[in-house]
Amino acid sequence: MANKMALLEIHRVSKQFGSKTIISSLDLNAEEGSIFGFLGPNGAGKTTTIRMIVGILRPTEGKISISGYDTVEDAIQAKMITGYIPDAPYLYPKLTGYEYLELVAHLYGLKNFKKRIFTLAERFDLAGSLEYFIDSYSFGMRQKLSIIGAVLPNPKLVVVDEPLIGLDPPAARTVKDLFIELKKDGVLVFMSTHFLEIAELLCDRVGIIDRGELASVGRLDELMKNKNTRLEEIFLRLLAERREEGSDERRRWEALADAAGRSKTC
Amino acid sequence: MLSSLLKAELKNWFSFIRHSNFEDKLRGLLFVGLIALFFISAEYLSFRIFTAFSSVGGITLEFIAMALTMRSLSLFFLIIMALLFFGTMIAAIDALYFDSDIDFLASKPISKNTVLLKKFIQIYLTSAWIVFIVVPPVMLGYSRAYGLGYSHLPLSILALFLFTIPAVSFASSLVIFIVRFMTVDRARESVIGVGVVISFAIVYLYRLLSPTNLFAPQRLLTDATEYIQELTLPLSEELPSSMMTKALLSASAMKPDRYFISLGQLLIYSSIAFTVFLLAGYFLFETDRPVSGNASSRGLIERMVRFDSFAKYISRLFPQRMSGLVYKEIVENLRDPMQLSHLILMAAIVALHLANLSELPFEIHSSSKVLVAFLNLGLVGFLIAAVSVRFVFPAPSLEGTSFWRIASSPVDSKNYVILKFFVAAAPLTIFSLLIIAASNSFIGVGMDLSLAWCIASISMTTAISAMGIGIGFSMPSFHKQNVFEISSSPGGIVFLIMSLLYAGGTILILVLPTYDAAFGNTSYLSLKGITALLIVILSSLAITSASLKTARMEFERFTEKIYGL
Repeated sequence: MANKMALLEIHRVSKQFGSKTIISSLDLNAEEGSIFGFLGPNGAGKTTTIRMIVGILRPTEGKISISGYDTVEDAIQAKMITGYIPDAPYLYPKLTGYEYLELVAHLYGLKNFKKRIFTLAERFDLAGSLEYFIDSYSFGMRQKLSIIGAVLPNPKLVVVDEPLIGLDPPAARTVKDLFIELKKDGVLVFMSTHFLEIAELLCDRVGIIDRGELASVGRLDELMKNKNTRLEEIFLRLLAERREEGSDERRRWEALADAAGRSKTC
Repeated sequence: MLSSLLKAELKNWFSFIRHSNFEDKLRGLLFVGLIALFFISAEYLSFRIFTAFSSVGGITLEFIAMALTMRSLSLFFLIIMALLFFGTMIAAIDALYFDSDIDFLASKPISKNTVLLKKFIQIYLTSAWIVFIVVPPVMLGYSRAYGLGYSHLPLSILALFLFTIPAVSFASSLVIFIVRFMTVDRARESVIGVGVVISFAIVYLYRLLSPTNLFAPQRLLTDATEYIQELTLPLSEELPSSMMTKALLSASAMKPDRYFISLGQLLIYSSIAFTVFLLAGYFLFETDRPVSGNASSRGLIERMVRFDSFAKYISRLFPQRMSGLVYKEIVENLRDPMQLSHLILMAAIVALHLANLSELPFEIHSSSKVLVAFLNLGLVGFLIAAVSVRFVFPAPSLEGTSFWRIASSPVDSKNYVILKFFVAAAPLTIFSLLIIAASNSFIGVGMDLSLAWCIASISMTTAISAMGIGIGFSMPSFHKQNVFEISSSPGGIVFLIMSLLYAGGTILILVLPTYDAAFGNTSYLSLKGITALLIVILSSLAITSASLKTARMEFERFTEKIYGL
């Protein structure tokens, strides 16, 4: 592990929308050839952080670099090695699936991409639908297309916001296998998810964000010192501890953490 | 139930205004200012036209003046009605079958009639509001020209409200009827057919009504009987446009009996139309109509004309990294039935215009030729602005929620903005040059004038396209359902007014050398002419550069507008 390079470096990053602070002084590193789980409750700032990593939003303060490329100063180079799967796969409705993937290939300057498109499409059971317009696709089909588009350019970093939403069980299995393969190939998969079981199953390291601040970060096995404790319980207890002593919110989170602890033993 | 739904819509709207930031409020103020400017200009223009009618050929003949006024108002209301009908069809498809609240309404214990009423109000507000911006200044201009005072205005506005109901009701009913027999996507395509029918109807009515007569009062001295007969030929009495005209004229002339007869006719018409809508809705409307049938099937038009081959050919002219985007821009526009129908409508109007020019008596004096050709240049400016508001201004907004694809891809913002500009400006330039060249050839103006106006037209097209991209990025509308709604958003109206002002300014710069060329028989390429052309070119370059810079700056903030809080 020690010889792995930090591919993604987030250094003291803050993000404000108007007077509202969404992310506050976030510090985070993630290495190549690993899967990093980015967890947090609703509204914690996960999606905003992800959008800053992929260059959709600019940090108000601080710096994000991917393989040494600053996402603002060297945006083009940083984006060249990054693939992004958003939480909602809004794609161009009047393009066919193939035309969309061809567009992605052109944007990344790929050559001889046709075979790779069909290989990936077959893997996701989408090859037969590539000639159809995207507006006739179901949510799951769009999500698959979005995933293929993200990995098509052979990125070093794949950023995923809720990867399994809308996918059927075979597709969800394919995605999990794909992430593991990418990791073996030296790719960093940076993944935000609400499904803690998925994080537990796939991630090497996790970071928990709460109210725009990093609450905890570390290797999954370090966080789960007690092998009988599940990530869900750790997550809920951590959030409870960050709430005001004696507050209703704290009590609610603690009760949920207790319930998670009990359900494990059942 | 209906009131709760409407209250929620209103609350949403007020909350949007209350929570908009200073910059948005400033833009809102600019919008209101420009609407006021449009209002004043339209009132003044109408006033001048009606004043001219009121004293035909220097002799005041009340009968002739009234016939002229009636014809022009009827023609005006007829065009408004046709456009409202077409616009409503587009709005109705989206409101009834694509709107985000359809699933919500369908899943709640709400009666079908309540849903229909809510949707009718929504369709009416979306499509008819523009009528209440465009018509009142004409009414005011008319009142001022004839010294009628303004007390009749509330009565006229009431008539206007009833006048708009039939077009909205019938168009919405037609949509419900069409969708019953085909998928919603196919219904969208069939709107193209309706667009074509409407454009031919406009062409036909335009010729039938012979509006040229309105501007040839001198014929009164040569063939008075025929002239009067043509003017008083009854316009179709059964059309609401005719009823509306009569209601306006009798309200302003303080003839309550006649006013109430016209109002009654409009009321009967509206009631029948609204009942038809309710019946069509009750028996034929379903919220779960299939949106698209066979996913692989392309539209009827695309099966006849393969846009993708054309787009592929054009995109190959660009570097590989940009070619995909060029392809996307072209096919997305051409595969959108709304865009295509508008293109066909525009083509019909241009064909009509060129046909009219080709029928002009060419023995007219050379100075008249120059003036006609000059007016034609102004018209091209107007046309470019009208096309741009549908095809150029919406381009950034149409990216909307899909913009993450561009924003997260290795695309340089400068190249992206230039590409958007190029894809808009290139076809528009060819379009305007073709019109100018064809018109000038029909009119038979000299080479010097043709050359000068081709340069002026390129300058105008370039600047207007750039303005479209700049304002499109500055005042986007992401949450609109279709291009029609985007172009009639505040940003679209700001762009339309600004591009019209710019085209007007360009024409003004060229007035002096044109006057010399027309009446002084001097070549246009004189010192005065060249200086004017230089000013036009430089102003176009300045506006283009400033607009593209604005677009690039706004590009950086674009994602914050879409993905920010």
